[in-house]
Amino acid sequence: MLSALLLGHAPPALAGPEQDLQALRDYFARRFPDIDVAAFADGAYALDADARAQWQAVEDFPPYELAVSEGETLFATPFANGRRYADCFANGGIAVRQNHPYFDLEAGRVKTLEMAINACRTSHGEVAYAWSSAELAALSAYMAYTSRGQVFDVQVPDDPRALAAYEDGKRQFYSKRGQLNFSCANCHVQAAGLKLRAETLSPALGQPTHFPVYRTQWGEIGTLHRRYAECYVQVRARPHPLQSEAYANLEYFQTVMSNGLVVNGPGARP
Amino acid sequence: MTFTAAARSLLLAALLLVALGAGAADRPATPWGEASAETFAAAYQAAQTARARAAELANEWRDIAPLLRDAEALARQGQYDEATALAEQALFQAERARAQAVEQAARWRSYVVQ
Repeated sequence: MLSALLLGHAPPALAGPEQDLQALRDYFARRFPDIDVAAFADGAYALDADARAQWQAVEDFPPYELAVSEGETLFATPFANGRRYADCFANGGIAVRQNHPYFDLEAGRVKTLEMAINACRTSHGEVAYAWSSAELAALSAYMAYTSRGQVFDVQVPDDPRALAAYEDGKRQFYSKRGQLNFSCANCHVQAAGLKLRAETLSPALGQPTHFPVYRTQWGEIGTLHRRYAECYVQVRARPHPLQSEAYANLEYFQTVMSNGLVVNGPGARP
Repeated sequence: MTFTAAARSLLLAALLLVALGAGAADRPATPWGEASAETFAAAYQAAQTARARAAELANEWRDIAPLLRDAEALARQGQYDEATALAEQALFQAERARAQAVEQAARWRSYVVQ
């Protein structure tokens, strides 16, 4: 419906995912010429030396450690039917974070790691975790932790549905929303590196790499979609449900924009 | 993009917010002291209709539903002036939420980093 509202406006030629990624990398290279592209996996800590020093001190006793440990226990605990999470994933579920989210050609939609975890549960007769549950975040944290150092490689297959999902995520990223009329790009592209109150705004390049994240203001670990919902509320937009198609597509776009960077989750943020 | 250009973009965003609010002048609010159960019902229904139109485009704003809930609660207590004011505020926001979605559908590609 939204595309039908482009009444009489001929859109510029569509750039593909690879062109978008290169354009975003070039943009941040111009903005921050002294920062290597690989460093963007550290987000705002790549841009702010003081914050980076504090973060490195926190990493000596990382606040997400407990969640990783809980996730490891959950991951290893068999289902009632004797099967395990390892049976649902390639490589036994170890070092697979970098391939999520992915476009499920059979289902015709984007699947996130959290969706895959719950699909594993339900396929083995277990009740799915709530999308906001601590258990789901802990499992995601553990799987991210086992994937540290792996390079993000999320594909957009040659399928119109996959490209439509990618474009939907891109549209959401660049569209202004809420009573405050902000887009993701306003803060994380145009204003990246600037301050929002006391915090340095993180660049879009590399943004999903450290999720799920332990946020000090949450006092616990949470998923990327939880952060999306929070951002929506902060700009006075009504958030979408966690793991909705809208947020899955947004995560899809954002992760493609971080291809080539390493997994470094779970992370710790203010 | 330079710092100055980034700051300019933020200023333009703020000005657009002001511009979105300027349309409030073209719909007179119910004068204080003149609201009734009927004026509230009309404002509430108009706001719900506008809210649904914003939701059609997946672009509801955060405060629309809470405003309508509070309006309904005030109306149940017979506080029609307060209730109508909140319903009209919800209507204002819902109309602008839909207008924002329509405008952004046409404009978002111009923001994409090239």
